[in-house]
Amino acid sequence: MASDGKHPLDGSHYDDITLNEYVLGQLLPDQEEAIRRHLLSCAACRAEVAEIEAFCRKLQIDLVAELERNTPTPQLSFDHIAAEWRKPPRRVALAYRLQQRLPNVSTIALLTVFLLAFVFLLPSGDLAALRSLELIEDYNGPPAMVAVTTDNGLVILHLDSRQPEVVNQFPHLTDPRNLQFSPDGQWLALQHGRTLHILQTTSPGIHLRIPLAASGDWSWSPDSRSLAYTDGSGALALFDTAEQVSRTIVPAEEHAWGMPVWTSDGAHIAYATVHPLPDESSTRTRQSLWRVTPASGYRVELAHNPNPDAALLVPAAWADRDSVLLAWDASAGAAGHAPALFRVDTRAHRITAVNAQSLAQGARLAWPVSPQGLTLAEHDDGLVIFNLSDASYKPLPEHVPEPHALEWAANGAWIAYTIPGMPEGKGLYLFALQDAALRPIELPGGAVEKAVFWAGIEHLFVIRQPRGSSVTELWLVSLTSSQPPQRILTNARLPQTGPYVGWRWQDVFAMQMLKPQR
Amino acid sequence: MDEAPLIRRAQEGDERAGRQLFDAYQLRTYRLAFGLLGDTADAEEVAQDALTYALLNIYRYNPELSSFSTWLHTITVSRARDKRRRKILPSIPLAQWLGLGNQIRDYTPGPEACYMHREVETGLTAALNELSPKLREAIVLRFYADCTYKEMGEIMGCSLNTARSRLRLAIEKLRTHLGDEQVRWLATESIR
Repeated sequence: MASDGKHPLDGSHYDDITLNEYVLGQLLPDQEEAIRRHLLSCAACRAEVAEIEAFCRKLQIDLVAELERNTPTPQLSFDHIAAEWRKPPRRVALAYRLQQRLPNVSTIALLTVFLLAFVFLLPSGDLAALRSLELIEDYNGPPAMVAVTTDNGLVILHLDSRQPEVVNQFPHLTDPRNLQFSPDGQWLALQHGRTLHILQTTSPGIHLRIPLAASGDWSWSPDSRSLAYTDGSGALALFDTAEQVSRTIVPAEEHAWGMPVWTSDGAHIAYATVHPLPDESSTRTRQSLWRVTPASGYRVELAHNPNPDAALLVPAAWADRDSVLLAWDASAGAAGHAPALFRVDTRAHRITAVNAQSLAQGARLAWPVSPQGLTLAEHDDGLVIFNLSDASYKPLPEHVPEPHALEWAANGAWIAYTIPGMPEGKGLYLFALQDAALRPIELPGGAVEKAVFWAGIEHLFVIRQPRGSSVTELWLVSLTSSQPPQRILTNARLPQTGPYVGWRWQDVFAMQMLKPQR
Repeated sequence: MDEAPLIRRAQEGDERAGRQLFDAYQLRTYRLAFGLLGDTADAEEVAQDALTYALLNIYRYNPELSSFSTWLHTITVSRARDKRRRKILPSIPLAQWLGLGNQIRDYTPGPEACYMHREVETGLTAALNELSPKLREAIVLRFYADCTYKEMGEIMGCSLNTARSRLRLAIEKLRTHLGDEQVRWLATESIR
């Protein structure tokens, strides 16, 4: 059957795909009407459509009959639920239980006891934060800086081959967002309320506050000298760590928005522009991807979004010696859908939709791009590795499940990943790209694996959630020695999440590996 | 039946309303799980798990975002995926892997894969077993649960277009798999 898909050539027929779409009601009304007209005069297509229709009808009848023949055993019962149902809600459990046990004591008396206990027994915020972390005493991993959000504020730790050192703590930063260390670990950027905080990680360190017009986003230059940030007003600015001043490189009138992405050599930054800004209106009239050269302020439009109302394109990563840019639809993640991916050829200024989707983690892609320009994506019928350089796809074997969170090793040969829904201690895997082999890494029970980050080339940092708990823990796993996994700290916050938006781990943890001291 | 008052009462903690919702949805949930997994014991475990989670967390359900059945189907599909992963994924301690290096091939067929190849099946069941889990989900959600493409996308966690293409791909694969048998299968009387 020769055709050009939805528009057959003269004297030819529609292809199977189009006829399947027609029967399944997947075409636009005008396409459907065109096929209906074609069927009147084409016996071959009519026969094909009749066959597909008969197939679908029979499929539905037989499937329903097959499933309705089955009934569960009496084991499937509400009785298993009833006992849990009758328990008091957890939020009032303690007071409720005390009331049950001490019916003669009034609520006021109980509250007074609680209040006195609170005033006299609770330690101060600083001490409480440190005590509750239950820091490990004999850390055996590579040197790293770690920032962690607790109920008692933000704590910055220095890990090396002795007891972890608390280098700074900020009890008033109780709800920070978007924690990012500079690559040298000397600085930490984060948002708290409508303020961008830039903290020097040494103690006592510099603490700068930059007001934001709305939610901002940022990234550090590869040499740690500059922080590029959008401040919600439409401007893109650079903070210089040596001078400790900011300068605007894209004025607010140009509507820069979202995360700026540096090239690997730090010579250029990719950023998005949105007219009007997302905070001002939900309707977008113009949207583009740009590249700016920080040294000169020279900027060039890489591609404009052909359908700005349907997608909000933001840059994710550069590839192929910075000639290709991966962009993704940030509005899909916010709406709870799997975001579409786009490949931008920055030399030809051409943007093409990638026939695959990714997973969002707040304002980031949960499946990042490897140093070699590869990314995991979801194709129609499974996972693929998409190569940004040549736009090719390599399907993964069917047994490879969809990860919750992943990170590529620096050499691009391995992916460390966590799989949702696995039993405690069995959710961490390593995937070897070369032989498509998935290898489990078993951890002690009692907690489920939520996210993983490489700690150098021989270790992993694993975020775990203990059973029945609303806090998280940080673990260290050695890949090359028989040293058992170590719990580094506990009682870190659990981040926010959405149905398909992913966990915003960047609001709770930041890790930065440091060069070993000679 | 207008289930909105029932759901509201269950959200307020009324056990009788919770039991009525269980009764109303247990068969459908079990059969959906059976359609997804093809194994009665697994289906029962997944249905119990999904109904338990849904009813104990019913305060999280927001009727403005989706219908109750879509919400419950989403939980069921998610639990069925978890069940499948647990059966298929290898479980070898890291120490063993380190000891044996790269020689270990971890994706030896698990119990589910063995089950699938245990018996020579014919017709629709065999064809369904040949589909990947995601394509199978598309078939069961569309032809058993009668979901729209939008609902399928919400339940499977993908875009509407992906839901459409999965269904189309699944139909094509089923037809290819049935091959010549398709004619015979189409000619047989339907079971009901």
